[in-house]
Amino acid sequence: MSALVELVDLTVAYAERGGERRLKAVDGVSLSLARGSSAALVGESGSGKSTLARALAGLVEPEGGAIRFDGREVASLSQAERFALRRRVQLVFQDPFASLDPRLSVEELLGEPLEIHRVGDARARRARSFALLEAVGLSTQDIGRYPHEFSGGQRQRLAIARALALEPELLILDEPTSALDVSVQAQILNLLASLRERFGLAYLFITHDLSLVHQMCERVAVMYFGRVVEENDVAAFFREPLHPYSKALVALARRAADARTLLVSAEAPSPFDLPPGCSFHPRCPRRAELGSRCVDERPALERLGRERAPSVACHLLDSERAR
Amino acid sequence: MTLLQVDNLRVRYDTPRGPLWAVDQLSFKLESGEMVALVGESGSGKSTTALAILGLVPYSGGTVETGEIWYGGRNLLALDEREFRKLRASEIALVFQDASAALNPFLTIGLQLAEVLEVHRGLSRREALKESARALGDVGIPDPESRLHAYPHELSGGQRQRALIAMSLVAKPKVLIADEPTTALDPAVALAVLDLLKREREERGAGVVLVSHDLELVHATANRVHVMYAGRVIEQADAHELFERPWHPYTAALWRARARIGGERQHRLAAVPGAPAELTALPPGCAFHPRCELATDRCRRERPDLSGLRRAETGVSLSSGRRAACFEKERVAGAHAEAFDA
Repeated sequence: MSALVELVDLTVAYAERGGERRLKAVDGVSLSLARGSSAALVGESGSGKSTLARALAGLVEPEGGAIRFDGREVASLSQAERFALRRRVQLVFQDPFASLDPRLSVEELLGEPLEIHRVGDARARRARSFALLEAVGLSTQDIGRYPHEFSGGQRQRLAIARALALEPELLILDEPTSALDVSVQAQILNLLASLRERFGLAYLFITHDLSLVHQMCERVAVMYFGRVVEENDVAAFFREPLHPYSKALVALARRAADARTLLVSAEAPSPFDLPPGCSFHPRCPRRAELGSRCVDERPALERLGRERAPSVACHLLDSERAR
Repeated sequence: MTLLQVDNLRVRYDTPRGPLWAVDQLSFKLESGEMVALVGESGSGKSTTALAILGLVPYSGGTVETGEIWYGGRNLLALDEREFRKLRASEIALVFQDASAALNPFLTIGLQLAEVLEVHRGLSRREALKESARALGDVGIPDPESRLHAYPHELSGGQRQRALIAMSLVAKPKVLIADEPTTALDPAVALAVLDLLKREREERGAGVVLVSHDLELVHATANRVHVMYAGRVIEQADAHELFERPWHPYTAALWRARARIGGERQHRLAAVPGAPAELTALPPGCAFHPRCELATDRCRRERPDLSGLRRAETGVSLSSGRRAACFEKERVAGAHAEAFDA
């Protein structure tokens, strides 16, 4: 499978509000996403997962590293080429109450992306809107209605339809169900699964909900303070997470009895005051096993085998392999 | 010992589209040391119930039409605002959800905690600060004496959440109202918050009303559960019984629909069709009938009340006072019995 998107040593930094410090929200991330695949970025708040998604969608400028789409570096593209690339990557946000302009009718909401990218005439755009409504399970009679006339679940369907208007290859879905009622979440996940089969889409989910990852994804990357600490096949990840932080996240999600013992502290340190060495070491129950190595040296993300094998950034696995 | 008893609560809101009853015919008891959960989706009435217990319905533009809420031999709904204010925070406290919204950014953590104690327990500033440091230590904030002087923004997100909980707990209230206490939190901090609530229950017999849409959370932490739909309780049971063998089709459908981590991945989730009921446009009969696969003509005409199972041969224990508001509950409960026999 050829990669649709590749991130190479990507870094995104923000300046502190009113301050002089800079925060590396994404710090040297390398990942690749196969065409038509479904992957997830997981991690606690502040892990950099949303920033990474925004960089991928072209909403923030990276400070360093590269984003490659179809093997071509995005930074090297002309303005026109970058504009055209926007069509191929679309975002769906958490809150369909906030992401849809309340003044636009369904027809305008669905037609706007086509108009911006000068796709078709008015009649073709209307036909496309009908097809989109049908694809997301809304009625074509809804075409003249406004967002406030829809329930939360229907609004999220509408947001998905709008994202699909330009026939993208990749949808970035940032917590797409967390603002929805429980009984409606399953409807939206099922819809996303069908749309992927039907249109051969690739998905990148940004989420803290591991049950969603289990249900919807093939690959998962765990982020901690801007870095990927594990990248793995989803089934293998839930069977046996490899990084100590992943183990804690999975145990917490399973409400396992030992979840409390897998993190030394429930709280993460301040992002402006990151610990030296492995950022996770102050919360890691196994930090003392290798003497001071975890404090002295930052572990690199290393692949534990061939192409589809998991990657982990942890000295413990490194030393276990050496044995 | 019963701490709190809600009897036949009915809350009305007048809207441009006519009156609606956010809560109707709601009754439940909270015992000392217990956690009772109100679960439901948007419009189910769970948060309105929390507001009513805190005496805040009038401030939200609503009216308590009928009902009594008994606490310490008094009907809270008959108290005037001055009397209620004395109870709030000292006897009945809200555990806030969003620390960044609920703390005053211009006051130190110590002053915000001490104020509660000065007002409600009549302590001097000096005593109140000492007690506040103890409260911060209790919720796991390191070096609490120095943290008293910190402003909210100087604490980490998790510590702010703990400080806020310390504020809810500082006057040792008997009843804690926890409205989605963990939704905004990372999982490890969420677990720590739940541990704190558990300790309050076990060590000093506080009762907790947990308001949540999260079935897994409720299953793991609550003793008893009231499932709400469109302003009414549609099923009530002990937590383990409820999810093991739901009687109401809505409870069963919600529990089946969730994505889960254990076991094989399902090809598709067992989604519940439709959207939660609109209180301004309730259907006749059972409010859930348009989404229910078991609905009959009777369900479309007549509204079922809460009641126990009619037959004993389903093998479900009748001793717990379990009830559900469904004409077809015997079929739902029986379906589990068959599944268990098979």
